[in-house]
Amino acid sequence: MKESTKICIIDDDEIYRFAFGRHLKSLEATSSLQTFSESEMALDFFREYRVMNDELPDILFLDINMPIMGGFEFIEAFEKLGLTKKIDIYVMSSLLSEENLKQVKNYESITDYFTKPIGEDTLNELISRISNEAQKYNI
Amino acid sequence: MIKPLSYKLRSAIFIFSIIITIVANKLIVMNSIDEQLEDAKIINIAGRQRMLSQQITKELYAEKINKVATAKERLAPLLKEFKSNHQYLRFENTRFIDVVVIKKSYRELQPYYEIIVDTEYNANQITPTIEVARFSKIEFSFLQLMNTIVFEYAKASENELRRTKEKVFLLSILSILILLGQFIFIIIPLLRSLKNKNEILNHKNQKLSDFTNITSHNLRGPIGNLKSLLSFYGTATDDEDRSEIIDKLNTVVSSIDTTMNTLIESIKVRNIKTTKKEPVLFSKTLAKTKDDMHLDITKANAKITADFSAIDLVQYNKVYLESIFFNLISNAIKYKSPERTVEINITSEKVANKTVLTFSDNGLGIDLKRHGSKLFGLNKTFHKHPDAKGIGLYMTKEQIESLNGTITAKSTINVGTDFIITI
Repeated sequence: MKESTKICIIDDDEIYRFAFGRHLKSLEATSSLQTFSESEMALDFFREYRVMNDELPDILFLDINMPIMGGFEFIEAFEKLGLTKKIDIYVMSSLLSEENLKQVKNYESITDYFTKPIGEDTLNELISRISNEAQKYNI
Repeated sequence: MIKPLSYKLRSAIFIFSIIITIVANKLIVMNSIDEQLEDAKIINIAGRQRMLSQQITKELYAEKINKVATAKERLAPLLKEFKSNHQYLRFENTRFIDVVVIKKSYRELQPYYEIIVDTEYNANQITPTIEVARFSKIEFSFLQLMNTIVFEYAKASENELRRTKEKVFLLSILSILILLGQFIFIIIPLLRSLKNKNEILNHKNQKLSDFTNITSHNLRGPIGNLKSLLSFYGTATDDEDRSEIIDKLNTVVSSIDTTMNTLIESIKVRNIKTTKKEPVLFSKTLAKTKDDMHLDITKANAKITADFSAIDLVQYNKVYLESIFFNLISNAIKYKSPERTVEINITSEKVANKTVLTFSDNGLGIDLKRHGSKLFGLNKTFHKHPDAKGIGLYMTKEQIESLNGTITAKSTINVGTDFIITI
């Protein structure tokens, strides 16, 4: 079940992408991990595979603080793509200011948020929650 | 320039002058009370002299006309008091002896006094009726003069009292003026300096809170990465894996090092209380910067123009000014438009007593609506550029603000950016 969950990470921090991906792998949370260092590149990908739901991830981890196109700007553009597949978006940041939290509530497509670095316990809990939901969805 | 007196010294001066005024007031009032007492005594004795002269005459009448034998015995104490009073008024008392009317009256009074004093002797000599009548005339003149003297004494005493009142009034006004001075020269400036200090404190607080944010933003991430990498290292199974992790550890450590160095630099900038200012020329600073950046400028084929005709010489920190020129010019070159050759125009002008320095470029531009609030933040980059570390503008702002200046930006995407510095 878990194996089929596709996960995508958008973060400009190379080390974080590496570490986060490795965590996910060690938890056997996913078989398919896709990473982007810039949100424009990710946006291009989603635009291209807009209708190919099998290629699209189930879960998206999105950094808020990125140069050029930040996390929230990405979401704005992403929502306009009009995807038919339901993708869970988790936003993350090393510092979630009050302003950030207010913004989080503005976007319906955001499932949840957490501060970086994400602890192993939080990650475990997140993964089990995700796979449970996926199971429910599939049954 | 004379150094303004310290608040302590100013307060001491004012407290001292208030004490002097209060003591002077007290002394004047006490002295006045003493004088009033003395005046009352003089007026009382002078009044009594009138009464005594009348009584002496009466006793004389009693003896000569009514033939009262005991009159002589009663005369003696009256005359004794009369003499001693006169002695006191004329020679012992020093109050009002210079009042002309009093002086004149006493002079005129002297012969009458002598006749009255001699009554004892006269009493034996003079015959009744006519002589007694003459004596009573003398007594009348004495009485009249004495009346004048009492009146003058009272008048003089009243004048003294009025003068005292005036002095006390003037002293009160002086006290009020001193208090007012204290208010203007001590309390108001003190309040103002407190307000100033409060503003500085608020500003510092804001800076500290910014600093905390910057620290958590820029250190939490990498330190979290370090932790993750270390835990991977512990569970790594082969050497290839380990060496990859070590590589990544190196990257993180050097990024933390850069961040820490920048933060330490910025604390240094903030902590310099009075950064040394000296006369510097914009034109010379630009020439030096061009020299230092010769390679970058030539490589980018950048065209730098400048107009410092409005103002060239300023009082500023030389190192900071060089750093500002360096950071803004390298910024303009770094974020040049690929479609145009770099053009940088630097101008200076005088606006309301302040010097305004403007750096304009024709580069990529920044979307200030999106990034305006973060433009001068640490580790903020807005362009895909290998050299973009997001340190230059942060340090530039820190340096300018530490010398009470400001830096703002105006920009249009794909047209260029203006950095406006007020020093």
